[in-house]
Amino acid sequence: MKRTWLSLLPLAGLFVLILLSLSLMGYAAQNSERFGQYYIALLFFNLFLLVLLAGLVVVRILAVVRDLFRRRQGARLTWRLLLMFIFAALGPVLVVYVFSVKFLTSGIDSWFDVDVEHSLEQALELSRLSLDHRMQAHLEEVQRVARQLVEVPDVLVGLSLNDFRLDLGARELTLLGFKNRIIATSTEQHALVVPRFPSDDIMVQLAQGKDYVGLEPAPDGGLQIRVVARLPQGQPLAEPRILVAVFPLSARMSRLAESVQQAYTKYKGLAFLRRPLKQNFQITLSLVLLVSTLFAVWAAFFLARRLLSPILELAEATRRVAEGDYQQHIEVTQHDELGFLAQSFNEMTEAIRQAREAAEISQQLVENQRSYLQTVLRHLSSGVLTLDSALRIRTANDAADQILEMDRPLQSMVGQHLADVARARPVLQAFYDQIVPELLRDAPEWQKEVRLFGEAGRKILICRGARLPDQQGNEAGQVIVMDDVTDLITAQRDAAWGEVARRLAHEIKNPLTPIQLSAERLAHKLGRSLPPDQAEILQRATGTIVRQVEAMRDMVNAFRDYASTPPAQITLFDFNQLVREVVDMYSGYADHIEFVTRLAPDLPSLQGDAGRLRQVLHNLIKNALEAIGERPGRIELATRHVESSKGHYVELTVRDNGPGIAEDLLPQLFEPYVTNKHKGTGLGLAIVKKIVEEHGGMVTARNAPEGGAEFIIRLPERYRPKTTPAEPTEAAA
Amino acid sequence: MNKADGEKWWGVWLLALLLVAAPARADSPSFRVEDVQTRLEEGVYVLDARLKLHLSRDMRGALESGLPLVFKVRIEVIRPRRFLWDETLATITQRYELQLHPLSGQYVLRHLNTGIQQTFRSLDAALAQLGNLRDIPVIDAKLLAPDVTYRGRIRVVLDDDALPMPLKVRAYTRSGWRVQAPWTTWSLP
Repeated sequence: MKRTWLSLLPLAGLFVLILLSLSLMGYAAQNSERFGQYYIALLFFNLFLLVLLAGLVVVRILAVVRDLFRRRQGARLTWRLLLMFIFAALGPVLVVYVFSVKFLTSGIDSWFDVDVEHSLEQALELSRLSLDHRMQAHLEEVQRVARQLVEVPDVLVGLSLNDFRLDLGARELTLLGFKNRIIATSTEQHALVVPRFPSDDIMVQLAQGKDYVGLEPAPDGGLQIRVVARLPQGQPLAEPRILVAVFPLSARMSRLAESVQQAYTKYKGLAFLRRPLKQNFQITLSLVLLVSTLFAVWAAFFLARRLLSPILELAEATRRVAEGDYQQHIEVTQHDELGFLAQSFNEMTEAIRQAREAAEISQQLVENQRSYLQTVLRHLSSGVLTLDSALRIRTANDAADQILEMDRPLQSMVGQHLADVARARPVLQAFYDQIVPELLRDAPEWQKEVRLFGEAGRKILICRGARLPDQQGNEAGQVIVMDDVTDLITAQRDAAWGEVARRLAHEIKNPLTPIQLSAERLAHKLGRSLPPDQAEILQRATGTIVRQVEAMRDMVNAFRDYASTPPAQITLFDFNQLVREVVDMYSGYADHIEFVTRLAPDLPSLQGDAGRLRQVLHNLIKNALEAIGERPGRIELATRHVESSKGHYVELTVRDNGPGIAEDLLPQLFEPYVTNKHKGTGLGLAIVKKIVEEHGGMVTARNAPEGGAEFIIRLPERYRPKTTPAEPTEAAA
Repeated sequence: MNKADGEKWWGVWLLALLLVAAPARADSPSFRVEDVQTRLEEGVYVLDARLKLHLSRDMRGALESGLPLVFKVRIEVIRPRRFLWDETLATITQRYELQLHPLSGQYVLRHLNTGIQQTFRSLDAALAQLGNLRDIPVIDAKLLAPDVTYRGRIRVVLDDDALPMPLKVRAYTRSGWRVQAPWTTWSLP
């Protein structure tokens, strides 16, 4: 605000200068004798100042117009205020101007009056008439003297001239000869005064034979009457002589005539100067008008700026607040409504800023809680899935994706109906089918065991559901927490089988040897003492006992082998080579079986226990052979290298063209003693599964579409021992 | 009243006129020097000149209304210099006032330098007398270097300062008051 005042200084100075100069001009116009000579200079100086002022104002106006065209903020308001101020100021000034000019001109005109002029002229005429009478008398007197002078001889002229002068009462009496030669002169004053010669036009008049009498202003002021008369010529060739006489007018007469003349002259002069005088006043008034107008315009600029600057500041601050900058603070310099507005604005922005900060803090808090919850959810081994009341997906964690074997994260399908997502995804579909009754029942809490058949075989999930509390704006949904307990159950079962094996080995194997020995001893001791037919029966019976005991021992050993886990001997070996060796062994053994191997040439070497994996191959081929039986058949072995998101695998597929696996067996195929064959221990596939899982691998079985059973083994390239199933949480993760 | 209305805006137009030079008109006054010569008389150069003064209608009107006109005869003696500006050695100004005496109908010509006044029955006679300059001392011959040619110049102007106030502006704006008064030069001696 201070700056605005300062910027006004030069112009205010200019204005004061112009006013001063204008008043000086007015003063000069009134006192023309003393200051008249400065009038023109002042006029030009004022004009120069005015042009300067006008230039400045025009520059300002152009600036505003330019702002207007560039649509700068506040330009329109400035322009409108400017126009308002200018019109408000211009109207009264113009009215005053017009009336001033009118009054002035009519005022000056009123000085002049036809009657006054006429009277003055008549007064002058009257003076002239009265003087004419006197002049005529003087002329006659001088003519008389001239006639008398002709008689006077030249030597006496000087003396008689003085007498004549005194007689006439003249101030000066001069006798002139040819070419203004002074013959004699007599004057009132004693000082030597050179008499004035008659001018040429008087001489012309004399030459025409007319004497001259005239009034003229005396050199000492007042009036005098000059008479020039010819002397009558005595002789025809005599020198022409003239007598010049000057008569003073009486002081009173002179004063009266002079005052009449002065009044007349003054009036005539004023009449002549009437138009220029009016013009001068008009010029001065116009200058004042221009100055007032220009200064009004300038004041309009100043006022507009002063009025608008807080508003513009406010507008600018509002714009910035609208853009999100809440640090706006307007300096309150005025104590009027605008100042109050600015203060209110400051309070408002402060309030907004505080509210925003509070909102940000709470939002941050919510965000923190959310990310905390998300982190917890993500690292939870249990799958968590939340649905809204219409069974659309709201959230899901990574564990849920893993458990439900999703090809795409569930989180990316938020908002889709679970049934739609489940379509074409068999695992999820089975899951959905099993839990949907619980979901639709809308119980506050529920629990259900869900059995699925996934990529890695049978899966058992424990699902717990709970209704979510109502939230504002969100319809209540359900949260489903699922745990994959397959490994846990398997481990429990394995542990149970191990215990059974240990018991069996201990409880069954121990009595076997005495049974066998007793049977052999019976045969040995009684064989010779019995008649041959009975001995044969004995022999056959003991033989059967011994064989069966032997078989029982084998069975117990096999069972012990299954239950016990010898330390693995890890080496790096060529899996294709291993397959070839095992197939070679069998190809000679069974002629009715055709072995087909399709081994991938790019198979990387495998890290693992080659001996135990050979066992796997044996068991699988043996299983296939048993499935095919005596009919001619075909066993296909294929290896390939699999690269998946979970790592690099070596995959072996063993396919036979036997009758396939009974559907009801399929879920428990790899469990001990699950078999539909008459021969065998029932442990072959269980051992396969055990060894593969010890390698961190996976085995699945299915019926091939073209018939026969198909077993697929996936082994990680690098040996990854499977963690002990005693810790199911870790295993699931 | 109509005339007054027309005159009301005269001032505004005048301001515009002040900025644009008004074209010269036929009735513009001209003061010319028809003949000028100097002669050496008793060691002083004296000047005789004949001036031709043509007054405009406006000027005659002013005189007839009893307003005085002051004429300024300006005589300068200059030493021309080649590389510097010319040096003015002497400046003589003779001022003559011409005024009508309405009572007697005489024109009074007053030589303001001396106070001597003459009366004339006609304006032309007065102007003829004014234009007849005789024996005006210009410069003492001793002040002039013998081997230098000096330049003298003379012109007659109307003394604007002596004009009544309202006429001053007109002296600048109206062609009837803008006197064409060129310098007339002669060499000295």
